[in-house]
Amino acid sequence: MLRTIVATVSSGSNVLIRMTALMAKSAIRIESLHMQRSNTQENISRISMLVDVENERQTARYVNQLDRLVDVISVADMT
Amino acid sequence: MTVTAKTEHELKMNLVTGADVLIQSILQEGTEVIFGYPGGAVLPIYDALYRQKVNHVLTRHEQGAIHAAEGYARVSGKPGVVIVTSGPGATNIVTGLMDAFIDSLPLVVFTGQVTRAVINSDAFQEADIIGITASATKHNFQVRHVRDLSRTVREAFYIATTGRPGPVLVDLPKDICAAQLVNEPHHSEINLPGYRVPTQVNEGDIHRFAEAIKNAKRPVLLAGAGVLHANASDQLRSFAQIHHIPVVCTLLGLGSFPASDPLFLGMGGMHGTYAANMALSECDLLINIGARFDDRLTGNLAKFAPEAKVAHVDIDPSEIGKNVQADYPVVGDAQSVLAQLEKVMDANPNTLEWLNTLNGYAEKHPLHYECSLENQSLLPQFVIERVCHFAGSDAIITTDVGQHQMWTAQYYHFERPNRWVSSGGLGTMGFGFPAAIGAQIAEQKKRVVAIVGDGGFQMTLQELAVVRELNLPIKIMILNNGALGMVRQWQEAFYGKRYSHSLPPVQPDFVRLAESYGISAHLVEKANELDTVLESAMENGEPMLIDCRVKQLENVLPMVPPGKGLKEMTGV
Repeated sequence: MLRTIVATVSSGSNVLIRMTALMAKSAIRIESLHMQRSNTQENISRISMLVDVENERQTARYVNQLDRLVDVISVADMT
Repeated sequence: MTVTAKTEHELKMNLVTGADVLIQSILQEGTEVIFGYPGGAVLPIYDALYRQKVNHVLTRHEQGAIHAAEGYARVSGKPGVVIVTSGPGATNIVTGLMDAFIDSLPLVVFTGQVTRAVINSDAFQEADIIGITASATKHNFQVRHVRDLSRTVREAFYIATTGRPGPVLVDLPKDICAAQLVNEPHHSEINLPGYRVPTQVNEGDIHRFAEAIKNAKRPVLLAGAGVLHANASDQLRSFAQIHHIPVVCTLLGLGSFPASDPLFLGMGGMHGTYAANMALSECDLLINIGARFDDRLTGNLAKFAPEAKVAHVDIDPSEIGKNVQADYPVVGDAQSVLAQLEKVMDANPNTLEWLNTLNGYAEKHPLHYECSLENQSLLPQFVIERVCHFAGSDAIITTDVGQHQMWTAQYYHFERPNRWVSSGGLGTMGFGFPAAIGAQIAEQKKRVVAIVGDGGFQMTLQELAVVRELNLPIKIMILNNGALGMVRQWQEAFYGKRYSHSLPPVQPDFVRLAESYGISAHLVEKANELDTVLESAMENGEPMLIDCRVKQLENVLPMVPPGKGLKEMTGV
């Protein structure tokens, strides 16, 4: 099932590694990925991604684990 | 912190290196000891260590350094600090990082890196340690500007030690550490907008939780390492005793509740006691305090606690509902939650019948082994019981992973918190001995015993040199069965006794090996030889190795076979 995950993160080169490492661990496929620096806030970026997950439980676990990352300020399943 | 236009005299007076700033920042965090190993990329750091008074322990392999730091962190509650070089130095600590990550141990690890100009050019001893450790650290940083150095160190210590503890890695390009800058007071504020530590426990959650406990007929407390990390052992003990609720510990939760208390049922899980596993299986309310429902604890999840409502207390919200759905989720540290819960508990559950049932299980099916004193063969369980007798409840016990670890968990009676150091989640062979070094450095007056197997000990035995160098009075008990025992046991049970590569044909003479490092050693082959050796070892303030030749084909029992539920134990 396809879910749209939206996150606000600290801009930096590491944040994507850590987010995608979590996905790779669970073999979650990324259908699309968009990252953009905020125009209004310094060192803040928005990430939006469409991911293919097995079920809602896997989504919830993934979102919780993303939220645990130090560079992730907020994250939600916006589907 | 910038280099400004100053006279040559002023520069001479005030210039320091990035490495000096690094060491100052590390010391500002209260660091008492650094475990490390030098190399090319960290030469500026080691030069700063040469200039400054820092207690640095030179291990003989980077893996030894990080496991020692883990042992230090586990018994002291303080962050273990490690410095290693780039490339192989950095990759050699990945196992320890993962081990600390899964067992929630606070570490701050500094790795050297090649200079910024040659990063990503496959330079000598270059490794992408940030990418490599993305999944093995709570967080990692690469310092790209000298001005970020002291702030990054502060942030690393803050992240490692707050919330759910964990390892943080700081990667330091060599030119950052070699850079010269003016030594001036710096005010580096932590800036971590995405990092939140739960501080307030939700009151509604606490009230619902309390109601569930009051109404339960068959409650059981499952105590994990979260109780130890939150220093909540006293609260756990009084809560269980006041409300008459039995307690099961996870492997790493041992010591959070006294083994001699009548409410203690033992360890749960694959090699847990019958009473503990039946309590988990038959309870109507499972109260998980700081455990993560590891698969070795739960067995087959579909058969786990089938009649129970589940309350789950954890400082890490992502743990709640990860493996087992929680009916009563509570985010918070074990100490705060238990304290608040106690305030609203105005009645006790009636657990008399339940406790009688569980006591019946414990009496009918205690842990047992067949001890034949006729031929005086040495049984590993007997060795653990005798070590427990002579070392006592105040001793710190470290283990490797495998059969000896499970026998220690079963037969050593842990009465107090922070005396038990073992690799739980990752199951790292070679952990126990260097962890004992870190534990002894943290608790210099306490008796420290490393209980290891002959397999695991051979993975990190080079650290005998450190034991001799620092004259650490560690007692190393090798349960030597000439086998990779747990592998052999599984091959016996599930692979038709095809002992594929689990019986190493060549073993060192451990006694002479220890003696070659200047450490006294004894060989024990018969049960009646053990007490004399143990008694003199525990009274002696010197390091000692004891090679116990235990029965090779002994198995760890009881056991929940893989894929089975906790009620399907064998060898009860």
